[in-house]
Amino acid sequence: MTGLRIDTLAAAYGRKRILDGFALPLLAPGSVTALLGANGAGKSTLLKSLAGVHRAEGRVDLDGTALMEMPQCERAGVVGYLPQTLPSGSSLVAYEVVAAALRAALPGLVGAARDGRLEATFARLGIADLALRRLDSLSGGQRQLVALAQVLARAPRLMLLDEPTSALDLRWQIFVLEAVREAARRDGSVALVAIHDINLALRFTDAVAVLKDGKVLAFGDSRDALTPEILGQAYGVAARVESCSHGYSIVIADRALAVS
Amino acid sequence: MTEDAVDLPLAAAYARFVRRRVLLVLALGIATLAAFLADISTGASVLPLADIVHGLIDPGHLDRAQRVVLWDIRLPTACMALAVGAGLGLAGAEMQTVLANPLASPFTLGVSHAATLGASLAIVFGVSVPGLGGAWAIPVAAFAFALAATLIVQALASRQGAGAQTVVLFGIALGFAANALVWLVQYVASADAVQQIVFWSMGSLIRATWGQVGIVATVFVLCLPLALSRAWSLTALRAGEEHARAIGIGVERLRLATLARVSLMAAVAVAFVGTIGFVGLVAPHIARILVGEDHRFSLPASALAGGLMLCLASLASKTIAPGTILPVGIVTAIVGIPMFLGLLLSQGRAK
Repeated sequence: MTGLRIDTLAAAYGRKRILDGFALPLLAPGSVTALLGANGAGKSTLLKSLAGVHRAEGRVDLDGTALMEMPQCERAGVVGYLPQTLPSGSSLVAYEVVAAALRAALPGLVGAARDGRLEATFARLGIADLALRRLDSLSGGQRQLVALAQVLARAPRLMLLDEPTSALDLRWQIFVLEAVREAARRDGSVALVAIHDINLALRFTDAVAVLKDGKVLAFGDSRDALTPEILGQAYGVAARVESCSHGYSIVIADRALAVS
Repeated sequence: MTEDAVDLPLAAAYARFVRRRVLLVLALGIATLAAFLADISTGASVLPLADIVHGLIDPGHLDRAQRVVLWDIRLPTACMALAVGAGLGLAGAEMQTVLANPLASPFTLGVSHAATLGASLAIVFGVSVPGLGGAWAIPVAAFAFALAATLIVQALASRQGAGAQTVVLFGIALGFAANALVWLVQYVASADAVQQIVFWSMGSLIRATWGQVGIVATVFVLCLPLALSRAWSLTALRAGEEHARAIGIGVERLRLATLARVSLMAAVAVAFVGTIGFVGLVAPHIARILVGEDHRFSLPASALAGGLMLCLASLASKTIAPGTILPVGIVTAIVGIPMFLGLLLSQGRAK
């Protein structure tokens, strides 16, 4: 079996359970799935749990191996995680961030092969001119692109991206999601992307999973998984789901619902 | 090389970037060597630099008095300045990285204050260490207390969930506690003992003997390669703790191992020379301004910057007030702050 399947996953912050019996059906290789849901629904915790950054227990299958039992140094070789931000106060240059990540996660990749991978990634993301710039001289959006570069450079089997477009303008938002989709298709990897902009998600991902209180409220094809009821439950808004002339769903939120 | 430049322009550009950093580290090394030579050629008795260089290579060249001045007084002091400065610089650099705090230094973790407490107790109670001469009682007590402080901080750091911020706060609290106890000891001590404690805590290099220099230098020489072997992990840690964890770095283990190593280094350094603040805090910043945060370069640069600062401070301690040697702890800040401010300001302009 290839792809990602979450049979069950539990994670907590202190005593507060964030994920409890979380499950997600098989995500096929080459697919990009958007994680939607209100703040605190568990999107970031899910990504951190799968990345091994947050303590979690459960049964998760990635390409036929039990992900949660994998030691972290091995997991780093197959899972790429993009945290919400890279630190703004670091004087590391972009090239060093990506190179250090490659060295740590893929110790077997050395010499010209590693240099080539770095070269190609910076070129693909159009940030070759940022390679020798210090992180503290970059804008939030540029730092986000460098953070994405350190994931894409590793060509991981599973990409976990926590709001990769939050600091970017419209063109770069689309550019990033297209780059993620292209990487997933090319490497046959699975991408999970937490994202706030619902319409962006519907347009550029294959599937959506809507989270609420640490559980999956709805899961399905991006074209028809969302309904006004689900949006009402997930976000507490009165919303319409309409179809555009190209067949994509568009969500229009009309008003916030009273807190019940 | 030319082929690489065609295929991999970024790698070639980065290689040039790295070469510039290597040159900067070398330049810092030369500056440190120059400061060291200036330090040993300065003192109460006149000894020209040419004679000193000759005397270093062939001690027989000097007359008996000159030999004593050079080999028994100036060289141990200067070597101690170099070793302690380098040790504190390296310790500070590693602490700032693993605690993700630019204000971290041996001071922050209470190491220096605990050493002062140990030294105070040894002075007041006149402890002597069996098998060693009386001169060793104070450094041994200072070291024991510094290490004990470290172990307490370690115990906290290894507890599940204690993040970098907690460790720093605990170290500061521990420092205050040790400080209060030092005052208590001073309050009950004789006037003579109080004076000794105050003098010790100002930091002084002139007590240095070759045996002590050997110990500090040995610890530094053992710790530097260990630090450099983790340079890439430390570099990755600067891009964020979660990120480092995600790429497979055992952050807790790295933090514990690093703290253990740098605490030993800091404890040994302060045990022999007393409290020398500032170097452990500022040397890493100077290194970062010069060569960035790639730890392959910033670690040796921090050590060199620390050595340079303390050599200059030692030099200044002999020249500010002719005829007397000021405690080096006082001079360090006086000499170091203008140098540091200058660098900070020039960096601000470059941006």
